[in-house]
Amino acid sequence: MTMRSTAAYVAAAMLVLAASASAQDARLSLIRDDATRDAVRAQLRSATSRGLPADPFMSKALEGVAKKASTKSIRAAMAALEKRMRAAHAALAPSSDVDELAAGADALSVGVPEKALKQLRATAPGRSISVELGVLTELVARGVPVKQATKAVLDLMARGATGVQLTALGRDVQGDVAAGLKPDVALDLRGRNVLSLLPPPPTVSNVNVRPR
Amino acid sequence: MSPRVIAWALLAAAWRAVGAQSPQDVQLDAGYARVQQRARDERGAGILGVTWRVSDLRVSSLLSAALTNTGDSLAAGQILGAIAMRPTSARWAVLEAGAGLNIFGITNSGRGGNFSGYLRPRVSFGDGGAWVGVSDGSTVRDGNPSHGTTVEAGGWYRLGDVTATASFSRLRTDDWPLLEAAGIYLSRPALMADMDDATVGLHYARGRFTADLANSWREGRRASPVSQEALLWSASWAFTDRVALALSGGRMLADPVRGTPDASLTMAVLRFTWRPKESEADVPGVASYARVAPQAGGAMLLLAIVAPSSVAVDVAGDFSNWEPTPLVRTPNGWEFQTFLKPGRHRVAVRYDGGPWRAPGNLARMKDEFDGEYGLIIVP
Repeated sequence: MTMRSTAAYVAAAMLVLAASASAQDARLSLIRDDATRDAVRAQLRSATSRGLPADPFMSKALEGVAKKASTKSIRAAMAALEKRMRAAHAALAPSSDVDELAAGADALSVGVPEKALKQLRATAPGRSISVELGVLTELVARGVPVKQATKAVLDLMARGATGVQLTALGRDVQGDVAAGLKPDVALDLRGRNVLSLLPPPPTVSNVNVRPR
Repeated sequence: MSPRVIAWALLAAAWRAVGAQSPQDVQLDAGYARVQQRARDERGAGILGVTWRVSDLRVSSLLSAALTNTGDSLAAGQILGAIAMRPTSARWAVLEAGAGLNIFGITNSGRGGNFSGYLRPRVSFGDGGAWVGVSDGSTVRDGNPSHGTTVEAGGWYRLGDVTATASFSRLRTDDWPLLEAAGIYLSRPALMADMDDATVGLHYARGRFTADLANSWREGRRASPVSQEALLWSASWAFTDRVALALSGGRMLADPVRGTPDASLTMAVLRFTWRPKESEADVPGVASYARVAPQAGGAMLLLAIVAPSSVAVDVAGDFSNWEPTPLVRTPNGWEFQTFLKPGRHRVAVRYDGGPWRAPGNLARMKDEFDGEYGLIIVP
């Protein structure tokens, strides 16, 4: 890298950082109460100093403000989110994708264990799994047992299910649950449905076949 | 038929309309007050009150009981019932009625009791509204009966966090002991005293802080020449969703309708509230549906809500930086649409400024603020 390109890179990085900081400041200014704004700023500093993205924290703070939560409640909610984000960061390493970490934190909040996050990561190490984590969270929040939901999502990932297919699965399970089906039964039925549309899983015979 | 009879009849009829499924809360007040009546020593009073509120989309009702423990109290026991009804055909109109029973333990204005009732229809338009009202009360003090009637008219207007009110009322009463204790004497023999009251008030609410300020002017008419003024203030701060401290002070003018004397007071009350966590399923008649329609580069979120008795429905979420956005009223209910980028989105709706809830068909997530939001995943 030449001096000129290094300088350009640094300038560009500074511009991005400045734009990000400015966007954050603009959102902070939405918090009218001085004490709450100071508490949120401190929590943001704590999170970003640990390498976590600021956006989910800012959003959680604004949610608390909209819901008229006290400064103490907002601070506690942000601290709890930081704990989950750090756990998600460790489980989903080396990813630092904002959506993925936030989705991982959501999954942990509904009771999905860190081990399941690691399994999902191992199944798709080179790409974002935020949709998969989101669908897993949705299924558990709708009442599907964690183990069954994790297994279903892992199976579908292994078979190459797309994000559209996964989100459609979540929507269909919701419809079935609303119609009176038990969540686990609904997932079993809908999961089979999606699996039937996917190509067969790789086996020894069709993975290493060489044309003769 | 007097307002008291009408108020009781309405209370009895509407009470049944509030079903067991309606959200309700219970509030316990415990506090201390310093009360000084005209030309009397200042007295201390311990206060214990219980209030039970139950709300439907069309009917809100309140039942309150309070005990004041002092050797020389304003009221030793008080029971109050009030109800507000909103007809579905005219959402801008509310009929409010209430009835109250005071049992005095006072020595300086006599022992006895008071029974009163009121009717107050009100209409709202945009950020403002107006009301007219009539109230009527009978008092028995040391075996002597008296009577008071008030007709009133008023209006309010909300500007941001502040709501201003102004009202005018005319009072007619023959409660001579109460009036004389308040320094109001007749200039010539008369059967009744007539007085005009004008009151302006300001109400401020932001976050967990609320404050009220009201100033009243009383001018006598005909045989009761009097000119009085009273300023009453109150403020409350909610430490948590359940615990709040309320302070109030100032002077209240004699109220012959409810039998309460002219007095200056300073009061501090610790308020505990128990309120069940609400979800949309707890609100009868409300149904919402969130449709996420895939589009190029994301999805369109369409919210369709049926809430026949609501006058305002808001949505908020990550997409709006949690800034409440009003839904648009349609012939079938309420609608909202916005474009969502791929990723995870959190959405909540509220009815008439109430608690934020997850739209009906979305996965419900706890929000760490004793509420919930709906989760949307856009592939």
